Amino acid sequence: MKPDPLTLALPKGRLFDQVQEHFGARGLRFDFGGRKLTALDETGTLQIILVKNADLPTYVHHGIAGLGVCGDDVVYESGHEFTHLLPLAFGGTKMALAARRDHVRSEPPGHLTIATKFTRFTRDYFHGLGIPVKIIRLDGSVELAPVLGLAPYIVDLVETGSTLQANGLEVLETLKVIGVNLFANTAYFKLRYQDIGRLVDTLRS
Amino acid sequence: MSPNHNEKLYKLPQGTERLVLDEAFRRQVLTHRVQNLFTSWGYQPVQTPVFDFYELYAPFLGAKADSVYRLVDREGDLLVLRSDITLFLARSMGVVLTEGHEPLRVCYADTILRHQDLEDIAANEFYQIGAEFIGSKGPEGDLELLLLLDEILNLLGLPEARIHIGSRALFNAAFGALSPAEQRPLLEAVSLRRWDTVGPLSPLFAYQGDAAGAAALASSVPHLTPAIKQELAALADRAASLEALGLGDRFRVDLSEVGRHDYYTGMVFQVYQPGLGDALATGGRYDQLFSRFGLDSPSVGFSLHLGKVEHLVDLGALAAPSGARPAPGDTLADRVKNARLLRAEGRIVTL
Repeated sequence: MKPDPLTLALPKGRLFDQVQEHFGARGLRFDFGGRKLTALDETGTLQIILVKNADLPTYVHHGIAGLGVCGDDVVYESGHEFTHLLPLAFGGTKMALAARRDHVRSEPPGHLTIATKFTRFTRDYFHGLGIPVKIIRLDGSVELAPVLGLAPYIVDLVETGSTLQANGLEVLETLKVIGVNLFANTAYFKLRYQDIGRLVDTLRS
Repeated sequence: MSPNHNEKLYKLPQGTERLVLDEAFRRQVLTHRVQNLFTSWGYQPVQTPVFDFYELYAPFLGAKADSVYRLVDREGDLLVLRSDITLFLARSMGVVLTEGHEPLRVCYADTILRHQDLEDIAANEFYQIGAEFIGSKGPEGDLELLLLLDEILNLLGLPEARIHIGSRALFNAAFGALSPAEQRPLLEAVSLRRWDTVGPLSPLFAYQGDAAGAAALASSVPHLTPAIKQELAALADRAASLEALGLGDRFRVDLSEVGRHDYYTGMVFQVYQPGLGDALATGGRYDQLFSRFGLDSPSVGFSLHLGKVEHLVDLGALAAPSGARPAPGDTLADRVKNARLLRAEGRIVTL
């Protein structure tokens, strides 16, 4: 008897096309026709659900999807722990500290005011260095914060740096290289480790 | 009435739950059934205090110290609300039993109170039901608890649940020479299967499978010390005993199981059920825990979060009080008489 398909959550947005191509090249082809949010791949190996990037760890944490693909940044912000299965060779980016090109350090030494979407990462990173930070949470267009004077610094994902450049900002420091991973809910992995092992072998090839 | 009265009225403080009517009845029935099973296995009930002195428990809380509720009593002592029944039970029995006592089997079903993040409330970790075999030394004690747990899973109608058994002693044999601060990231790496952190012993801790496969690791994984081989053989023996009892499908050796609490010293296990994002029961052997509470006695036990599986259990054709019918009769006397007759037949009747 063929086992039930493995459940996999994929993020909508920038990563989706790359995941679809990577999986398709290894015989796991799927297609979300119209506005559907679930699909079964052609081999019946994977039942795939499409969710918002930031919600993906929540679905996997609760076991609604057993497996997930997303960036380290999203997993870190969720605070959940998963079983890592496979780093994927695409979608990599970096988390960087940026400021206006003409910025002059005006805050007291060792103190930073930072606008970011990645509040957990930013707090842990700078506290780990012993630097107190004041964090202003934003949900998008973080580059505006230094331009409009909300905060002198931002922490954000930087791919090409063109958005920063267009807004007169520059990277001061790369804080972390962000990779994309296939990971599993730990309990789900325990129950389906043989099927998951086969999937990982397929995707690694 | 304050402006936020409604907000308070509809919100529950984090870390507790409310069960009413059919849900509460369901829990009562399931608890009763499991307790009857405990009784038939010779396990005696224990009720632990709802709060106790914080300082007694502080050394065991580790990272969980953040999630316990603390309060100050009238004498100024710091108290902690019951957040883990195993610890409260060890403290209670530690002062009741004396050295050299006869082995004692105890069980419990109680609420636990600890802070849970908004997202973790769905984990349903508010009510623990469990058993402990205090003074149990050898492998037979370990096996008794595993067999009892298997019967509970049968009673709850969970044939797909799997009990993964591993060993904290195996981890200690491999990494016990390191400081606690060095061990912590390795423990986490083993349980989350981050093999690049674990290093050369990864093929050992990555193993999942049957008893024979576990025993074979002793020769297939290079550079295992005699202490590691001894713990591996001990675990493989227990698994082989379970397989010999015809329970090979229920149990799996899983060496990435190393115990969620630092008080574990020997075999450890967790139970996984399809559809649940986390283990529904956890347990193992803790031979030094009681000594911290004044009693030098080995022990093995488990606890099960009943709330995680209540919705999966089929209670069968059980009559519930929500389906009660009024007794027939024009007068109270008639209704009392008819109700007695109907109740004697097992019907649920209101006056």
